[in-house]
Amino acid sequence: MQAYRDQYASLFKDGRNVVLIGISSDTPEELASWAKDDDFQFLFGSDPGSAGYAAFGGDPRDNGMVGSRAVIVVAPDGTISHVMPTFNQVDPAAYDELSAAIDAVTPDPDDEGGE
Amino acid sequence: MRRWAALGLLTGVLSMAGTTPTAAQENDFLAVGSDAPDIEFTGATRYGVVGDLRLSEYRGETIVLAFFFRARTPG
Repeated sequence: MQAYRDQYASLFKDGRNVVLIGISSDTPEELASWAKDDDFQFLFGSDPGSAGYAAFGGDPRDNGMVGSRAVIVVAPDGTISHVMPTFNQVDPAAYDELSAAIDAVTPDPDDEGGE
Repeated sequence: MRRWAALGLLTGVLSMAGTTPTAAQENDFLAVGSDAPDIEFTGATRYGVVGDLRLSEYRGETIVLAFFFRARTPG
């Protein structure tokens, strides 16, 4: 998740009109502790058993961990607008794809409605 | 074959783009255009545990769900 932290301004518009949620089967206490130690500025979600991952169609592992490093974009209207079944965090193209997917459904926070 | 075991631990780093991480996983993600399920989770930030949340609370904003394996791992 460090890459998301370091690219938060560019990828996630500094959280303006975009909510990033990192979800794992860790306990909330573990996630909060890690977020504090590594200074993550976004929200984490604790989902023991990975029921949320399964609800989106993922296949959790037998130990309750998520089965893949999936990234899903949900548009402001609540519909799924982009799915990356496996996010390759060392491939710059993955970040370009995610950024484009976010931009496609997110109003520009700096746009005041002009041309 | 031991090399495959080592690679299994590094699939997130070494897998070719578009491949699934392990043959054991049978992911079938919801299609683009589907309504996102209103999943529930316990929120946590660098300031502490923030309690139980659900996805519908963020309607009106773009939501990026980034699933990951384990806290305190690189990536």
